[in-house]
Amino acid sequence: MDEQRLVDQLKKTGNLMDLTFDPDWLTEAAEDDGPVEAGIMTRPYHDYLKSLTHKQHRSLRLQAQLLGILLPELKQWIESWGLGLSFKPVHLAARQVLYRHLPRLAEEQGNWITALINENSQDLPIAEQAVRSQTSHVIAQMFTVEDWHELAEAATEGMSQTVLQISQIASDKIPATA
Amino acid sequence: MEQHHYDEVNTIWKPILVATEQADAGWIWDYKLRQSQRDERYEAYVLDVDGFPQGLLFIETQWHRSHWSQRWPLVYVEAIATAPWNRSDIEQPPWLKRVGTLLLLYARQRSLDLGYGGRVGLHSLSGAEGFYRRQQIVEHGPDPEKDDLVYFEYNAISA
Repeated sequence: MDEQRLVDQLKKTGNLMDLTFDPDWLTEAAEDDGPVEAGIMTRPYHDYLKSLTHKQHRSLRLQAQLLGILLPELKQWIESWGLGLSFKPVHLAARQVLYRHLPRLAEEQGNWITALINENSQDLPIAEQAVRSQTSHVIAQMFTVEDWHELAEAATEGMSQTVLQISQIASDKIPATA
Repeated sequence: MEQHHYDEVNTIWKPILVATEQADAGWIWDYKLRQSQRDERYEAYVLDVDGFPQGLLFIETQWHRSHWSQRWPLVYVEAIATAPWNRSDIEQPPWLKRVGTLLLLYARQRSLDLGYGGRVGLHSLSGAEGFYRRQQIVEHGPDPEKDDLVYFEYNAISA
């Protein structure tokens, strides 16, 4: 870290994190960090990484690429359902359901994912990514009836908690009587 | 950091697309997360990009003191880690670069917010010391109380 740059940034905006909007900092950010693990508690993670096979590392890379497509698409799709305050619990539940399905995809779904990753590697504008545009349809096919019930329950629970919180806030506001 | 971040780190920092016989890795992120929820001196952060966790930072903010003077409190990095696909020792090129740098920058900002002047201390795992040397953080040598991990400390940011 260039300490003088930090001093300058503090004088400029008072917040070091604003450096991340600085083009010069971003240029430097093209460099790699390499391993960064610190703290004794990171040792098991470090050992885990060393234990992975080449195939598993490759799988992790593909996974990151895939999730970088699926998760934003899933979020956008669920936003379109108009769930209001139940959005967050349903979104989180849907992600968990998706993670459960990814290791055991049907052949057709596996082929679609390969096509999706290949398309993504071409760096086309999102509007021109025909395979990606099918994402919500494929996820809908992936989810079972039980999965949909799980999401419905998450929505119900989310809404109930919100109403109960409102009830609590309203009671707290009632002035004490003399 | 919220519970779902921890859940997702536990799920997706492992290869979920292939069947593996990977034993439980024994990570204790959840312990640190619970600590941060129970005790205000601990804080847990996650860097979330594209909707999933790319790096983790756990800090302690009240008990640790500077190597230079016990009068100076600092932010102590209990743990910092990046997702497997963001590590150049594993992936070339990494999926996201400088995740560690960004988290470390945030630790310094927290130190400023707390009135500690940007002082940050940490014990680097062997193999990661090169990163901290490139960050120009002052090296204080192996610490026998921490399994001889090398202790590094940033001094205050001075105008």
